[in-house]
Amino acid sequence: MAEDRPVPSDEDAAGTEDDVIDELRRCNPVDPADLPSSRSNEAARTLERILTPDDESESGES
Amino acid sequence: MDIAEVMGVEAVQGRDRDWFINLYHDNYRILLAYARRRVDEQTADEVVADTLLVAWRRRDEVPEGYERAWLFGVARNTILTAVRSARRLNRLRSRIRSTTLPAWADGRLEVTDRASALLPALRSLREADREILMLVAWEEMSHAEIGEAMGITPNAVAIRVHRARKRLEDRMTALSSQFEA
Repeated sequence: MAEDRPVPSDEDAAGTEDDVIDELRRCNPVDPADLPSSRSNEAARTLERILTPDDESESGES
Repeated sequence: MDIAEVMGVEAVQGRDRDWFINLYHDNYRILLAYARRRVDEQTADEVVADTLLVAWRRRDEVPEGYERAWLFGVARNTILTAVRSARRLNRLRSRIRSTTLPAWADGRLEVTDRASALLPALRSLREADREILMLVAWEEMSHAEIGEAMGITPNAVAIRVHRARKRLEDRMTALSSQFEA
């Protein structure tokens, strides 16, 4: 298969092909530091919902 | 003998719960960033919740050391499914709110020179090319991690990245030459 042949590694490609990747890095539209953390209220509610067994959530809803 | 028999079911459940809570706190924000780079905010929140629910239900399958890559793989499938569903619904109801692209990819960016052609060029690539470039540049993943997320070898990742870069550069040249002509 063509994709199995040896190819330059990430490091080998650096410097020759990374210009466009570097440009992309500078255009990153989302900075994680600006987002709600996993300790936010919304994230805490999501975590609680995930860890609540289905039978408990169903009985709680009825 | 099953580990649950040795440790007791409650102890195993407690250990799993602790593991998952750590996974959750370690990855929530980067997973949210991943989703918001690809879909609107409301859909991104749903993608994160769905992805982490899958991680909890399939916790025995999450590979140690590649947790983030595995989560991105699940999130990508979740997004592709959401986008396909939205397209189907849009065909049925013209004014329904659908899964939308984030601002960078909504097609309103104006191309005035080669630099400003970058994001429109990225948007115009096929999904697989766009995704692999975003994983390298925005998610800062290694080829091994991307291979884990996409279910292909690191060698295959390197080749796909190389080809996708070339296509992106070709699109940028084509878009900017239209302006400069």
